[in-house]
Amino acid sequence: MIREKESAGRLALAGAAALLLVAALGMVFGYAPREAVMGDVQRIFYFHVSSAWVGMLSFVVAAVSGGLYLSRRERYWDMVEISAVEIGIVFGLIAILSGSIWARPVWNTWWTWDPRLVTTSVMELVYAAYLLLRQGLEDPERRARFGAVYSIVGVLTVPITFLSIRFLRSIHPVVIGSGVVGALGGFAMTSKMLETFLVSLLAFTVLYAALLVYRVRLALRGGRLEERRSALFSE
Amino acid sequence: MTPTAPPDTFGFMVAGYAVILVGLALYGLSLVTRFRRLDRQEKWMDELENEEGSTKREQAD
Repeated sequence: MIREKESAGRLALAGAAALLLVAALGMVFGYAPREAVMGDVQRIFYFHVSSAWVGMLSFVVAAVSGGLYLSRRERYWDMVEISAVEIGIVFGLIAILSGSIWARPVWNTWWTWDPRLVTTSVMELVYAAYLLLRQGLEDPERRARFGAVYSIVGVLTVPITFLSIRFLRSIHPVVIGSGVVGALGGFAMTSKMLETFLVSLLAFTVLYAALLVYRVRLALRGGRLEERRSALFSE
Repeated sequence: MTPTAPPDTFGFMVAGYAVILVGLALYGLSLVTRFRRLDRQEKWMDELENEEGSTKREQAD
């Protein structure tokens, strides 16, 4: 009964994420106005920022899970942590690639050594290294402890990335919480743009929750299988 | 003064959304693939455990 309820909950979350994503796409292409200076490419902004937000959120979730693992020593939190790191890397990569495509017509280059681009790439590499280093440890207990400490230290890259365009000289636009519209590619949001942006953020956040729930389930089942396998072959 | 039309950046927008949506779809697909692989491995493990159990019972008899 509990399992059925859990399964229904997961499906409902996935369904809500799909519906919200469709609604966000509809608003991006059918509701939000075309930006006057950049043209259609500005529409990338809605999903680009949402991806970056989810990537950063995911690394924070990984750090919190790491802290919970260290204090409670429950394997569940280790599974949440690795799941969050993996999803964070995927969304971070999507943000970098979509940002690069946006930059080509706006900055006239695919890539520039701007503080935001550099700190985001460093953040991605830090977490890619987490996955690689974790795989090198065979003892599950040691692996979990290492992962927890690494994710707590690694999360420092999140505020550095977020604040890089606010404290360093950058051409990356600060659209939220700033009046720096003059940055190359910066723009003032109309109310329709803001509504579209908020729905996109919500859609990506719910999508993230759904992906995390499924990825944690996968990790837990994989862990149980590993235990069964070692029990069977050690007899 | 007549306002100038925005530049034609439609192709870049399509490319951007293609990258985002294909990226999400690929990750979703990777989860589905890993769940299926896990199903197969669990079935295989069930069979192994059953075989192990029946061998032990035979030895006990």
